[in-house]
Amino acid sequence: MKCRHAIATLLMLLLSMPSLATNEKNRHLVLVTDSATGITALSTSEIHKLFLGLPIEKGGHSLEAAINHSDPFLYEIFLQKIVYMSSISYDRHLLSNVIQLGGRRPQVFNNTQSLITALKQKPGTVSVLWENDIRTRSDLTIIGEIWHGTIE
Amino acid sequence: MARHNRIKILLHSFAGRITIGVILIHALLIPFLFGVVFVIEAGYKQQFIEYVRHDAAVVAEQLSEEKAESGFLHHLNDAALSGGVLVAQLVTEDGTLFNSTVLDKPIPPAAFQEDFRFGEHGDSIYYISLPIGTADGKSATVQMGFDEAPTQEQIQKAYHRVEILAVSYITLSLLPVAFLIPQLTRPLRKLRDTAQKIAKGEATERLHVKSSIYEISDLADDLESMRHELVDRSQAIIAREGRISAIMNNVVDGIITIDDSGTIESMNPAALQIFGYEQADISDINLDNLLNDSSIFARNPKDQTGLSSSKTSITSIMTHETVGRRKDGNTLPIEIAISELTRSEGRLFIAIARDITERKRSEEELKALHDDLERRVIKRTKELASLNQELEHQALHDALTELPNRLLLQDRMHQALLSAQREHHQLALLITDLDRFKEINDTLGHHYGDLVLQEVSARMRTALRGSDTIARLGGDEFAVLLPYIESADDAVMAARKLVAAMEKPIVLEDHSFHVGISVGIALFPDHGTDGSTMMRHADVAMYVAKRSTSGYALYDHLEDQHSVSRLAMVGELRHAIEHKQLVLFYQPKIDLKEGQITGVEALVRWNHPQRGLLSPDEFIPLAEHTGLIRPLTFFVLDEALHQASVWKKNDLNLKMAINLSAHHLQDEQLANKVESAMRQWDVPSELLEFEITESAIMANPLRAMNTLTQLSRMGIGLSIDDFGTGYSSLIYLKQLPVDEIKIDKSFVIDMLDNNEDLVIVRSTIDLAHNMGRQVVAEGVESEEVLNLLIELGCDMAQGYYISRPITANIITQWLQQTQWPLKRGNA
Repeated sequence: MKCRHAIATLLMLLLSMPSLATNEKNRHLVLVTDSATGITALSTSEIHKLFLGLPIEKGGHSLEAAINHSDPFLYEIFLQKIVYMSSISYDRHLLSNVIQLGGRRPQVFNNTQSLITALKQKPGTVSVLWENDIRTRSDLTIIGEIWHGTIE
Repeated sequence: MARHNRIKILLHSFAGRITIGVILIHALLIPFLFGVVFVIEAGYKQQFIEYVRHDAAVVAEQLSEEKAESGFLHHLNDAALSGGVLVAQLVTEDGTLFNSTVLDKPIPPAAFQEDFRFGEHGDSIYYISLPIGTADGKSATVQMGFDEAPTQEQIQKAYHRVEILAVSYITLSLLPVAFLIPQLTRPLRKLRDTAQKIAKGEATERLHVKSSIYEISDLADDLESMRHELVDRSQAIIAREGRISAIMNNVVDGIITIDDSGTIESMNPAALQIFGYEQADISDINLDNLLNDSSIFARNPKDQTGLSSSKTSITSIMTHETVGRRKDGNTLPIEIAISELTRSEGRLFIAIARDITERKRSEEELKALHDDLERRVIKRTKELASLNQELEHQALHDALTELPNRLLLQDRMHQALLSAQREHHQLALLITDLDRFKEINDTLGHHYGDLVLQEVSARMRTALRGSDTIARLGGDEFAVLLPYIESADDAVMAARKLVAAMEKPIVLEDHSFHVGISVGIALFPDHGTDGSTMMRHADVAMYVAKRSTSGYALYDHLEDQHSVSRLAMVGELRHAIEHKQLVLFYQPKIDLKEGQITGVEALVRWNHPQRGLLSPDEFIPLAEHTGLIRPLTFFVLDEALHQASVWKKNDLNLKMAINLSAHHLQDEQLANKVESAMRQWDVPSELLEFEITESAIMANPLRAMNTLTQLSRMGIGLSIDDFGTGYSSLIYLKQLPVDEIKIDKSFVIDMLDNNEDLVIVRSTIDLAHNMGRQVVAEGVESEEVLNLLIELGCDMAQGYYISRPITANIITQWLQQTQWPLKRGNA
């Protein structure tokens, strides 16, 4: 009886999968900072350096990177588009930077809301977010688009 | 269904369980192997992605620094030739597409689907695009496709290896199981077969199981021990069953087993014989066929021990006597003992039946004998009770008067005292003593004495209430217990009744006796609170009563001292006689016609060490009462004859008069003793005279006559003393061999003033002279009396006027001085 119940549950999951698959969303992954930072754009190189933990000065601000770890897919896009590394290599690189250069490891956020709060609290902080997460917020400024596309 | 059963058996078999166990254990290991492969797979993918992103970044860096289109193609071709790159193209801002010439046709930018995970989109190509800024300030996008197939192959290889490894591992691990299982199951199967044989009772063969596994070999050894034990027990059970069967077949009692429904399960031969059945009949009969009343089984108490029915136990045994029924319809008395055996399959009754026809007959005979014996015992018991009652009556009553004796009186006294103490009332104890009874007894004999006592007791019973206890204490002494009195007057009233009851003379045969009674009264609680004190005090009062004129007396503690001294006097008197403390005084008698001294009367005195000289009245009654009168009289006789002998030697022939009591008149040896004394002191009988009181003679005149005749024949003079105070019979007086009569002094003293006394004196003198007797007047205390006596013709006189009693020493002196000369020639 238990076996039959498990099979039925599995079938239900399988049947529900097509509907999930068809639930495609058009997404934009954008580079965001606090509006008070006063910068409007960063070059590809600047973005690369910023998230590799290297110091960047822009608009009188010392920029800091904040890593958004709230969405695995977002993080993979970030790795591929900005730092060109796998997650393991990126972690190693950041650790190497801290040890060799004495810099600080960028702060990692597992929650979108806490990331936004951090951006507001500390101007000059730059991170990547889904555009629709910040669309209604005028206090944050999109300073570049990293990727756009559909995700399932 | 059969297959399902086989599977089920397999799953529940030892081999099946071991196999399943091994598979399960290794089934846990196999996912681990696949987990390792998963990690390897992840590593491969991560490594691929690292390579792809890094390579694409390098190409993008190179292209961002290139300005010419030829340079673009050069770098794209270099990238394409580095291996693993399937797509390498650059799309400029304006849509120009630069494709590596060494690769196939480019992919249209609109169809380019970038990958972010290994194996995404299922096309085995990892597409990546990177934006670059070209040297001319325009932006472009590098689009590259990397072949995922080599990596996927590596991953597949890893999976294949693990699968092979898992299958090999399982196969290799099951091989030892396949080898080990038969080694386990074979001896176990043999053990099972042996156990089944044991269960069937076919355990005669020794169990041989060889196994290197200790547990199995131990189990085999244990099973063999169990088999051996079972064989031994079976043999013992068979032997015991044989013995039980032999007992059952030969026992005298019938043994029947009955199940819960009353069906007979078995009957031994004795039971069959008792009830007259055959073995084959058992299946057709039940309990009702055997017993008239089978309800005795229902009465058997159940589950008294509280044991559950699953245990086998005998709970109770009850024996009944009932009526059995034989097959032929005849009945017989049987004794049946029923025990209840509780078994798992239900209760079983075991009945032991015994034909008690003979025993019943014997019992009836025994009962008849018993009844007869019981009747005899009852009869004998009644006789014994009657005898016992009689003995008890005899023990507590006086045989002569049928009155309670001293013992019963004491008991009633004790009860009465307890009652009086409890209820706070008075009681009285009266002690009585008959006056002159002793003389009656001594003179007329015990027969008359007994008759007097019976008459006295009858009168006492008549005089008193039925609730009063009259007891005879012994001799002429009686006691009366008045258990309830209001006052001392009640006790006095009872005493007066007793005295009055005795005033009328007792007439026995031809004799008439006047028996007085003295009653002493002691009251509770005034005179004593215990029996002995009451007795003693009543006794003291009784002695006081003897001296009183009323005949009764209440106890007075002052008199008690006299009683104590009286008891002491008995001992002292005995001592005085033995140690000659008694002294004789002599009172002269004169011949009135001659005017001369004719003799003396010896009068005894007791020279008491403390109390001085005691007169006869103070100790003679005591001596008579205690029997000391005999030695006292012989002491007087001896002393008087001794003195007479002395006087005789001095030529003083004075006639010695000695008093004899009534007691001596009953002594047949008196004459011999007197003769012996006279011989001893050489005193002739003419100098000896005995004075006997009138009452002493009249107590037993015949006996007195015999004694006096003997003395008279010896030549001894005889005189009747105190004449006029008793009840003298002139017939006896006429026949007595007396020489003289002594008129009592109570008549002589007052005869000058009392005419009656004068008449008595004159008549007595005349009577005596007419009978040829001389007359002696006592109590002459004046010359006038003396002269009158002379005038009346009295022969002799004695009294204080002539001389007081004086000692022997003084009398010689007196003789020389007196006006009356000694009459010579007396002897």
